[in-house]
Amino acid sequence: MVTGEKRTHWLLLAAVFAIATCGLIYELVAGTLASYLLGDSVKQFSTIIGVYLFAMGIGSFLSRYFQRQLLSWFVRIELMVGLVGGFSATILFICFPIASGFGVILYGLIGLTGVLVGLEIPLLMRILKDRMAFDKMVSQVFSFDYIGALAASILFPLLLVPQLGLIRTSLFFGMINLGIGIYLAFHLRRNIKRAMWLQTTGVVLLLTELIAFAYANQIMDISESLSYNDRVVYSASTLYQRIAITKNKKELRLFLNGNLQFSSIDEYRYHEALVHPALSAMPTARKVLVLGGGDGLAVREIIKYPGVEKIQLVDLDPAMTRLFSTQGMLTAINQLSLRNKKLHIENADAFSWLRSNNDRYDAVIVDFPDPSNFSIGKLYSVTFYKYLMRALTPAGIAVIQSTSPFVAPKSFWCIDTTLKTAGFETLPYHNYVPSFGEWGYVMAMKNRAMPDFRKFPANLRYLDSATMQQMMVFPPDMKAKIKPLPNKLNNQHLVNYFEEEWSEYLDQ
Amino acid sequence: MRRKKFIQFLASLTAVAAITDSCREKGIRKYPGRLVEGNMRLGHALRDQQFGKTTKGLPEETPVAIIGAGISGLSAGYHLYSAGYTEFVVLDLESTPGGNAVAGKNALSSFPWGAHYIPIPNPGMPEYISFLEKAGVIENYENGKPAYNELYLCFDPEERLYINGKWQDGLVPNFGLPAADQQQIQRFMQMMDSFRQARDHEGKEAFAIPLARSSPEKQWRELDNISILTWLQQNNLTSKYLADYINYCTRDDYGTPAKDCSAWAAIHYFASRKGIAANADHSDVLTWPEGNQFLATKLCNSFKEKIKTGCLVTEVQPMNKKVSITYLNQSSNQWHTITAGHCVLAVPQMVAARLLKQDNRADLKNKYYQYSPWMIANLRISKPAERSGAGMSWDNVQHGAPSLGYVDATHQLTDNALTEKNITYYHPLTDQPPNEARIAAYNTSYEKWVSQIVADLKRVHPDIENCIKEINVKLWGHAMPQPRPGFLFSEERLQLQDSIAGTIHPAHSDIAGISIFEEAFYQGYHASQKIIRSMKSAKT
Repeated sequence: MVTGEKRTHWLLLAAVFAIATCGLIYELVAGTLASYLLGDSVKQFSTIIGVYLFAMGIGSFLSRYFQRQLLSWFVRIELMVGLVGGFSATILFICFPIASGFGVILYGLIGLTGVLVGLEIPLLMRILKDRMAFDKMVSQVFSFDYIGALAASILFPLLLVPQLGLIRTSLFFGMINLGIGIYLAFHLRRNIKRAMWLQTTGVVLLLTELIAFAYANQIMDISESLSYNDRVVYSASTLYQRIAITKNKKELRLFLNGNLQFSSIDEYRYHEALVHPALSAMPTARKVLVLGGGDGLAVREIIKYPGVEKIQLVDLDPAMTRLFSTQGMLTAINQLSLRNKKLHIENADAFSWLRSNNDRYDAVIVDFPDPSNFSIGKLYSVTFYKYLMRALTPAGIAVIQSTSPFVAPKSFWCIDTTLKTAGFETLPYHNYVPSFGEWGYVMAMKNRAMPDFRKFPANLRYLDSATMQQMMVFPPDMKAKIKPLPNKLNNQHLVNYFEEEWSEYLDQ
Repeated sequence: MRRKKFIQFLASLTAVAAITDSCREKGIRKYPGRLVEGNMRLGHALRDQQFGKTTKGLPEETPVAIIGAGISGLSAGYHLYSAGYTEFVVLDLESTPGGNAVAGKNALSSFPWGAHYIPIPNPGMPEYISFLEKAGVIENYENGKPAYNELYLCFDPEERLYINGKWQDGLVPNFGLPAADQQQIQRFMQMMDSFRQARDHEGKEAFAIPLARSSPEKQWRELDNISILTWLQQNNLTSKYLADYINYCTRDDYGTPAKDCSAWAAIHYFASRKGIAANADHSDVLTWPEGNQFLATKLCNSFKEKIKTGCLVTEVQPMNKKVSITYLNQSSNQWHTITAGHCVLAVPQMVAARLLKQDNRADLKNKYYQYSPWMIANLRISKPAERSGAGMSWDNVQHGAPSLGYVDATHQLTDNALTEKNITYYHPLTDQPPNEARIAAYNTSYEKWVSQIVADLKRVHPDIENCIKEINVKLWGHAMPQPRPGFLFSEERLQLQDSIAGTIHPAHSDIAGISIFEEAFYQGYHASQKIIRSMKSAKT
């Protein structure tokens, strides 16, 4: 019996060591994860250590309310620490890309673990107090506690993170906690009420964590966000394209098939340059057509003209217009433009729509993806522009987003030539959009008169008449070295130019 | 007990999976679709003189009867109608006019069952050009050159060839060829270029369209006495790649393997196209989702109601300066007799000989004509996986394959919203002599055709089995005559085009010798002119 007592005594001290190691590991996992995911490691580590220690303090304080069945409670707390701490890294990785209140989850989890860990030592000391002298007990418990902390802080950076990774490390220590709980539940079953129940719970939890441990890589795959600079807040494959939205503290970016469409930080430069030169030159415009532009950002600019009575938007992908009509982050950027009463949205192929269209518009904003393949290339052809011309009123103006005249001058001037071949008078211009680089637009008109660019809406952030004058000047490095051929359905030169120029540029 | 049941359940699942897997491997997978039959059975009833229970209908009378609503028959009707001779009937066995240019249709698009494009027309064919203007194919003229409707000019990318493990641009073999082969192909192309420009002393083109306008001079005509393979040997063109390419070309245009194809005909394929356009090159083509049915429809738009379909003509005989025509109307099962002033016999020669009941005609036909059978399939597919190289084009050919590859019927649609395609798969059955190939084809099941097609396409689209949504197969027993050596310019054979008794006017592209739209068009045109001249002189 004496030897039995002694073994229990050493067992409990071994538990102290393990508990201390586990406790510090959870703290380190949380700190590391927070600095990975949120950046600013000094801040993350400081706050996490602070919150964790504070929560431990709360745990210690709460320990006074545990008066009966201390051993049973201790086992329960072990199981809970094993569960919460063990899954902490998994929970944080999975929640990060999908949850908006990541901080709440992070600190909530840290706090909960801290409280539970804070309960462990005081309870254990009270369990031990009848079994050994107070002075000896304090010295032993704290020695094992601090030795455990040392073990954790050495093992964590040198062995655990490189070998196991964060998810497996936290699961591994969770299983140690559970193991302690289960062992005690078996070993001291006569002193514990409902030992059977605790044993079963412990084993089930242990098996769960074991499975999670085995599938840690798949869990990591689910949370692909670590491979991005910014975190992916939305991604979906529609019938026609893959939409991805990333976000960091400063900006939100939209990608279609991996190509950047806009960054919230400077998209106003692009959309103001796309819309206002044409619309400000047509103060009497009543009907405006937008082809492409399902993000609603061009529409947001058009709404600034009170004279416009009807805006018709034609975008291929219903998923795109739905997303930008309903998603809070996105409607904050387009200012709910897609829900404007003047706007009619039609999800259709622009070419087919134009061919069957009989309406005339005062202005047409053409905001298609770059002509990177033959399917999109059709939307930049002479035939397409002839239908576009038919959709314009006699004084109407169309404007076409026309890729980068710096990276792809042949492509840019090919669009200009194609519009001229279709019978348009053209006015090419360009501006600087930091996230895109130097960007080009071609204005296409039925008649020769030079538009008047003196009046722009008052609330613009980028465009004024002086800027407009500057946008129409092309420095020599943006002029085509050769005269490009027009892009036709039966000879899509533009797609070849585009491919050639952009692949050369990206190779550098 | 439960566990045992569970294990049994798992075991049966595995067995089911294994069976479905093995089905896939053997290509037994089922797709919606069928063997699409024309009125072949009724046609054979004519050959075998076996009909069901029939009655006799009322006799009819008309100034002109046109037998056959293929391109030559419709062209004859078009030119009569345009000249103000609006009283005629057109009889055809099939349920829709168009002949080899018929098309099908599903929810996605139309698709061709046969002829599906025309090259940019050569100059010097005013009647043809005028028709294309009226059809909206030519929109206007720039510097005297026709500007074609760019929705009808084949969109870019036009052609690709799968060769040496990669899709290359264009159909002329290039990727992975040894330098010697490339040089030979280049030399061959240069020779074809000079043939294209060649004219005789009187300024006649060496290789013209219509073919009858070609120079009669011996230096070119004698090319019709040898096969193109012999000609290649004579010119030290020994490249296997070149021979395979030419074999593709002669099978594509004439349903004839290179070894059986006249050198003159094969060279005509390369040297006859001289079209000039404001917005296209002589090698460009005009095409539509429904193929040449677009043109067939334009030809007969003004006289649709004069076309009687489902009518099997059994006899055409001259009678008292008129023509007596007997036919069975399939829908009423009634026999009719038409007395016509003139008859355009716009049917293939094997049918013409039977209708006219002339032994010498049947002998001539048997002596000269071999018709190649074709299998054509239309597949509705989702986007398949691709091998490396050029992307999906209008015409997609595998070098050295028994099929001619496939054409994307949805290529000319501007709609980017389509997530599926209709592709038309062409296969002239030239592995055996025509008669044997035809019998073998008629005895091949739908499932067999499907597994052949899938195996062929699988080489370039490994996941094609999972992409096919529907597949329909059609056989053409007598798709086109083969221009074997000595066929085209035989004086004896050309007697077949002479009018009979001044009232029956044979008109079919197989009289011209090669099955192209322009020949059929001019066959019909000439027949109409003979009738108009005769009617005018009868009046005065």
